[in-house]
Amino acid sequence: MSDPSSRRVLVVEDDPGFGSLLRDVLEAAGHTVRLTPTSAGALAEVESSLPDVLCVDIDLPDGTGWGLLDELERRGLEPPTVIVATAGIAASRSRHRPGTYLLPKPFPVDSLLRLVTGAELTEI
Amino acid sequence: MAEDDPVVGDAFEEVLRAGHNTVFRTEGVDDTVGRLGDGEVEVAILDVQLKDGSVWEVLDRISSPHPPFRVALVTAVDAAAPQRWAHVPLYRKPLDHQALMRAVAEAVPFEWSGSDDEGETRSPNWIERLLLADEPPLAVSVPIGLVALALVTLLMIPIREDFFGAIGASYTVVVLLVAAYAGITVGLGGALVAFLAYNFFTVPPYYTFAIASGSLVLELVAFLAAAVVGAVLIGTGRKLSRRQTSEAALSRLRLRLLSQTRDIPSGQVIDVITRVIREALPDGAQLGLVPPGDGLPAWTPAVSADIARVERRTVETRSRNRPVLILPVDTEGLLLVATTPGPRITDQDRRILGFAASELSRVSEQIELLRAAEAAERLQARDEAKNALLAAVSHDLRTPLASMKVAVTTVLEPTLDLSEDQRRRLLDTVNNEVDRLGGMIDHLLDLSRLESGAFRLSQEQVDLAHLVHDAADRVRLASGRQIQVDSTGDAGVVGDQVRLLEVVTNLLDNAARYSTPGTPILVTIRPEQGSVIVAITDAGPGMSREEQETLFRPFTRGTRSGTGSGLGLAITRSIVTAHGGTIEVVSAPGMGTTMSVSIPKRALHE
Repeated sequence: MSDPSSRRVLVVEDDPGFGSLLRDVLEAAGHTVRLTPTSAGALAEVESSLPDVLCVDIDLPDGTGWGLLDELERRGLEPPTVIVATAGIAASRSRHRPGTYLLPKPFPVDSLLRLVTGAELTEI
Repeated sequence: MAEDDPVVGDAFEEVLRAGHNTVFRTEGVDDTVGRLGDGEVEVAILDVQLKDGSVWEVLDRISSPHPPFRVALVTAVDAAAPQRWAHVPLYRKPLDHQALMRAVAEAVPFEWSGSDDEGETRSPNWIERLLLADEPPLAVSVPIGLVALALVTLLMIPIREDFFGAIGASYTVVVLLVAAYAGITVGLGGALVAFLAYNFFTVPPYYTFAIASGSLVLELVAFLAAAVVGAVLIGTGRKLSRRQTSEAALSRLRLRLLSQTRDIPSGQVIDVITRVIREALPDGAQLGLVPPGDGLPAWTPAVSADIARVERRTVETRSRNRPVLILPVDTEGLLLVATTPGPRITDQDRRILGFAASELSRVSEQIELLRAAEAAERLQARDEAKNALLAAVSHDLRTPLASMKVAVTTVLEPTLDLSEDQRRRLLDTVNNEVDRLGGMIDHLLDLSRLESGAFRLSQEQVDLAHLVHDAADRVRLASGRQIQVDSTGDAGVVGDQVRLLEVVTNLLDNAARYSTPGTPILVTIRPEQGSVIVAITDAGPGMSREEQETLFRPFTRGTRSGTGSGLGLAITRSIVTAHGGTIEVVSAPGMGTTMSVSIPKRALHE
């Protein structure tokens, strides 16, 4: 794995199976991964060190992915790339912040990997 | 002054205070009634539309006796005063200073035409009693009238020479009494008979209808005219006064109904109406409300009831020597049937019953509308639940799908160099997620079968204490948690062993999953009032009220879960409900949670 494409990724996902799967896959692709199931955990992780990529599930046990992003914006702690994984009917909400992407579940792994490494998809 | 609009109220108050008046302000029905009852108020200026009702309600509720005060009304809209308050002056807003002062000046003494039931009613004197009594049947009144005239004739014959002038007067009195007693028709008949008797017995030449002189002809014609006019006048007066009395009685009845049905659910209004009406009828009267298809009371002839129903008209008949009145209430065929003790149903009772039928018809119409609205609401609620379930299903089924998609596409991804071990783990993930998806679909099917009632529970003797021990063993093994089971008394119920085991296991699983690791879980089993209660208490973080409310909804998961189907508690509750039992949660944040399942000891009869 070449270092230039390696990213520090924070995955916020409450489904433990899916979370650890994402961690395994991203690590297999050469990225450094931290995993937390809640918004509160995510805030603590971001405060301790800003990741390159934040991959956040839309439904979290203690709030929504959007709520987490608002809180991060309020604290001025926005990672360069944000991937919002949506399930079911995509929660449509226009955020015109560059570097934020919607990724509807179920998604193929190459979509995730391209977003993490910075190959552009549809920005929202 | 009662005025719910604060701006208008302030303005009025200022004007009134400027005139050195003391002003009391009220806004709603209750405070206005209370203020008017305290004796401080001399003039009441009342807005027709109050905060929580209309001024008519206020006026109707002021009981008798009440302190004297004068009253005038103001209104912002075209308010029609009910007849009984039509005499109270009503001013249209906006009112300027002068108009308001005029209202105060022109306020009329508060008087209530229909004093309430308990209020003293003067007992009628004999003339009034005569006038107010029911007209007797002709078979009674005609002989009585004839006897009275015969008596007068017999009295007059000996004095016909000396006191001729008294004859006409005596006959007139009798005719008037007959008219007062038996109404216009009999009165007129009496006038004619009196005229003939007068002529035949007391006018010379006697015992012929011939008349000796012209002046006697005049005398007789004058008598006939006076008797006829008197009979008509008295008969009409009788009718009017009777109508007035029964109007007053009806409006009292109306008020009583109004006050007794104000705050009760519409389902009970019918009972109250029939009770109040029964009280208004004479002792011994019987009253029945008969829905179509229900048995008629024994004293009601079925043929007449059918006529009333089909032709939608009031039918009067006799049965078992008593009069029976059958009134159609609504288009559905609801009937009001009544019988009274007298020989006939009196006009007064007939009016009361007519009023009752119209009131009942109004209420039954309202209830029908309410029922339709409730049915629509239920349908809508079911629709909403279905939509929520669909949204939840599509959301939750996607999570295992997402895992599988990622795992499979990772294995297939050419740019990733996966080890054999990594590949294997990914395929394990797919395998597990397929099982999870399958389990969710099974649960969904179970839930839909349970909720639609298509699921058949077996009915066997189940010892809940045994069953809880079994379930506790399983969960202990799987979770490594300490589970303490206390049971007292007979814990036998009739139900579906397998499904009840699922209920207890599910609840224990939840307790193990959501409570603080290392803390014990306590289960108590005890009989209580025909049921057996199984209570599972954990020392977990507890739940807020909102969490408790959504707990049993499909796809509601605890905040720190992830692997459940989100259907476990929904299924648990459905199984308990199908057994005729209940499930309750007692919890508060930081206080742990107790789930109590109550299963009836006896089987539900299907």
